[in-house]
Amino acid sequence: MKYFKIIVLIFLILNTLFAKEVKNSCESPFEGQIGVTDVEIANKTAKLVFNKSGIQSQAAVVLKDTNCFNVLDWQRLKEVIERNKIEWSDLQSSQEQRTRLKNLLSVDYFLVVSISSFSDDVEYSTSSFSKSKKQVVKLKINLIIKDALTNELLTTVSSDGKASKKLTQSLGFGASGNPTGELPNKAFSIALEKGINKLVNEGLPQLSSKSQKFSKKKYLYETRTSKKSNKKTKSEEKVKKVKKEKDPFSLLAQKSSAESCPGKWIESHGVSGLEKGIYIAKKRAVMDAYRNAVSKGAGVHIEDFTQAKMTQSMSSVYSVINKKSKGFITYYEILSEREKNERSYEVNIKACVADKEVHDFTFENGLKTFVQMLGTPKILIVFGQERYSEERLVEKTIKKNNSIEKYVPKKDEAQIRSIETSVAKILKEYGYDVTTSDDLSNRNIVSEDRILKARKGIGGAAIEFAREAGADIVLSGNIVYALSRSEIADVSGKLVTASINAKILMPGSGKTVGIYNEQEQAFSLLDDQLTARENAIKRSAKAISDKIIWDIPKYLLDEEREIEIQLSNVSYRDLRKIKKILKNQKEILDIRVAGKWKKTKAKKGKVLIVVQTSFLGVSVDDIMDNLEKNKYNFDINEATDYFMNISVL
Amino acid sequence: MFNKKILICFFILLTFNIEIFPNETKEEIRKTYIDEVFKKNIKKSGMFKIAVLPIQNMSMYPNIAYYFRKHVNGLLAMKGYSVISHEILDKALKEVGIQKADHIRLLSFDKLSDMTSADAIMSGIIETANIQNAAIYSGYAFTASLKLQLRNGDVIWYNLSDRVAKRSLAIDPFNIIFNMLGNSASDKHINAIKAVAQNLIKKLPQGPNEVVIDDLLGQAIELK
Repeated sequence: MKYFKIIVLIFLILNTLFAKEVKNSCESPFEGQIGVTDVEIANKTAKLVFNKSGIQSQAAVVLKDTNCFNVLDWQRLKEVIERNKIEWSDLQSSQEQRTRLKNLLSVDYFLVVSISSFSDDVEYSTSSFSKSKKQVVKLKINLIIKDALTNELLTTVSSDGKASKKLTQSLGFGASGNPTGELPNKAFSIALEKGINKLVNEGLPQLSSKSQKFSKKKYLYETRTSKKSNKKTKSEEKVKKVKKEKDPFSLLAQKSSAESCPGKWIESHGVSGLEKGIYIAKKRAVMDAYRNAVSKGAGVHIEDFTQAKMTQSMSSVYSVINKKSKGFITYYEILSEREKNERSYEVNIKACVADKEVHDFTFENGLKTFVQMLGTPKILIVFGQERYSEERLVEKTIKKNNSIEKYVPKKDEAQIRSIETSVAKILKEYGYDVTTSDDLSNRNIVSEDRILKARKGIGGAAIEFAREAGADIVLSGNIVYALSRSEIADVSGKLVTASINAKILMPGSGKTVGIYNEQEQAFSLLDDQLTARENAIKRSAKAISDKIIWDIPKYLLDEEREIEIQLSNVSYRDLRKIKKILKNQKEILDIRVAGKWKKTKAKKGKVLIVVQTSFLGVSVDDIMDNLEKNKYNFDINEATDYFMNISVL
Repeated sequence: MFNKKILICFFILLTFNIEIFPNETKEEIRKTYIDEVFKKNIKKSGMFKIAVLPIQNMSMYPNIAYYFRKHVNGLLAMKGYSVISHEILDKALKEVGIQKADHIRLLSFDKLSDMTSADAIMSGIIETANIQNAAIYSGYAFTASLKLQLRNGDVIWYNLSDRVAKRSLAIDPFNIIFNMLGNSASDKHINAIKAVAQNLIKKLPQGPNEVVIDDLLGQAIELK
């Protein structure tokens, strides 16, 4: 017995001395560096309850504990950006700024924690001999991973947390007390841990593929730049076999194989001019090859879309992915590509063309492929919300410094986040590049006031900042929800009706091209408003997104894009010549003079001209190149994707 | 023998302890407080607007805080104070994210006073609402407090822990049944919390507004 005690004691001492910390192991650690930077709290109560820096630190710790990520705490990101005078908008166009920021940040991705909804309620219950009071805290968080440089939303996961505490009194005896402040933190910890686990299990695989895409884009850029510098030496080796794992265009091909093709494999050939650089040339050559493959495989006649009436032919390309068509391409892969001569680029592809009448397949894959081919259109989502039967504007006068001011309260932003995130998530799944109004606010592209205007449904405001953000399409709308008490099979609960009204606006033409309306209901027991509201919003978001995803390519290809050119120091004769030059330029559909030519000084004046083109038509750069080729020299005062201000020299 | 020694040591230590530590000074908590300047000047001021915040409820009864607040509003008006409509105040609080009375502590007093044009803000708490109903013995006890602060945060009046209680002991079966029925009726609880509010507000000085209760029935002209 005595020896036994000694042995146990030695064992305990040795165990304490040589005990190793057991760490969580991650099955597939992620290689990129993640910075935890931003905490967004949409709910007003949550804003009061939570401390942003506390949440950020907690998220960094939980993320690190998974051992799946290299985590960097970037609490003072905004300060650093401001100190270094870097503008997010510059990152879109300037490679130099991107490299500078990349070196400064030393992270590849950012994790943004967002609290989208929060409720802190007290539930009372009574029985014959006892009474109880239960504090219930519920919250919902979204974990968003964004690309550190482009701010592109890569993956999102959402999770919820619930914590409660109950106090009971029997026959009037027992504890009574106030709700505790610990519960919100407890609920947040639960939601955060659930969310991070979800991120590791579901978000991480998505993120890994995105990271591959990122490195591939980088590789392509590097190879292109090195190619330029060694153009002479490499001109002898023009034909180049594509390495599948180093090309973003072959991403889809990685997923496909001869066995997975539901239709038949068709080989086709595409050619495009090199005037706009190798990257655009390749994109267009792939489209040409895509069109040829559809034409061969599904038997759909398509006109040559390099002709002037390009929009029509692209619509017919779209028609093959439309549900009404006979068939479309589910996957394609690039077999070879080369610079055919100094003027053109050639691509050979192998495409899986499925026929609706013969093969069994899903249309979604075809849509994803098509969206990818279009070059992942950029979509801006702006939503506002209002509650039915609530006063639209609560006005109250407050006495402040002896003056009466109008107090206009802000709307609750929780649902806006919820709807924007839900729609963004679905569109993202189909390969669209999605930006929400919150992203613009975070990137300081647009002020809060302008976002509020756009959320109120003012289309002009949304179009204006969509142009600034370089978006191809704007999805604007609002959500109206109504709460009512309802009984289903003798069970009472809350019935929430959410109605989404959305319109699709084209920043290029400023027109509204599509209007949608969806209404969904959700019922929840135990008067749980929060869950019912979330479900109703999610359902209506899904209903509307399912329609929109199919229509966006059509709108993009059908709709004309307008580029405004403010010409100054131009004579009337020059104006006529310029109009003639531009009219002859391929892919310009129409050109018109807006207003009058106004004389400013001797024979010179200024005028605004509007160039109509298509989504894949000419850019501002193309117009400039064309005018320069025709011996016109300009001073550029301002240039965006949709507007240029130039004076003739 | 051993036990006796321990006992002696214990008592010695106890005596020593008593000698070392001086007697604890028991400061009486002032139950009611009125700021003298406020008391002097309240009658002279033209109008004094009070905003009554949602009342914190520590009890197990959900509705009493609502009735308590409503009654306090009425009593303040009867005392000659102008009271800010609780609906307007609640809407403003909701706009900044206050979902319930317990959340008010999350707001700074400056922010709170910015939300209302009132001259003073009244806050309160229902500390206990115990209702015992054990057939033979039955009773209830309600305790609540109120505090009045100026816009700058200075406390000008408070009345702490006013209590209303009623107990009854029944030995005959009729009274037992009567007690059980009586104490379970919610009207009694509401009346009790109203009585607490009345006791608390009683100690607040009369406000500047003159309260006229017209005998409208007496003034009515009979139509032939």
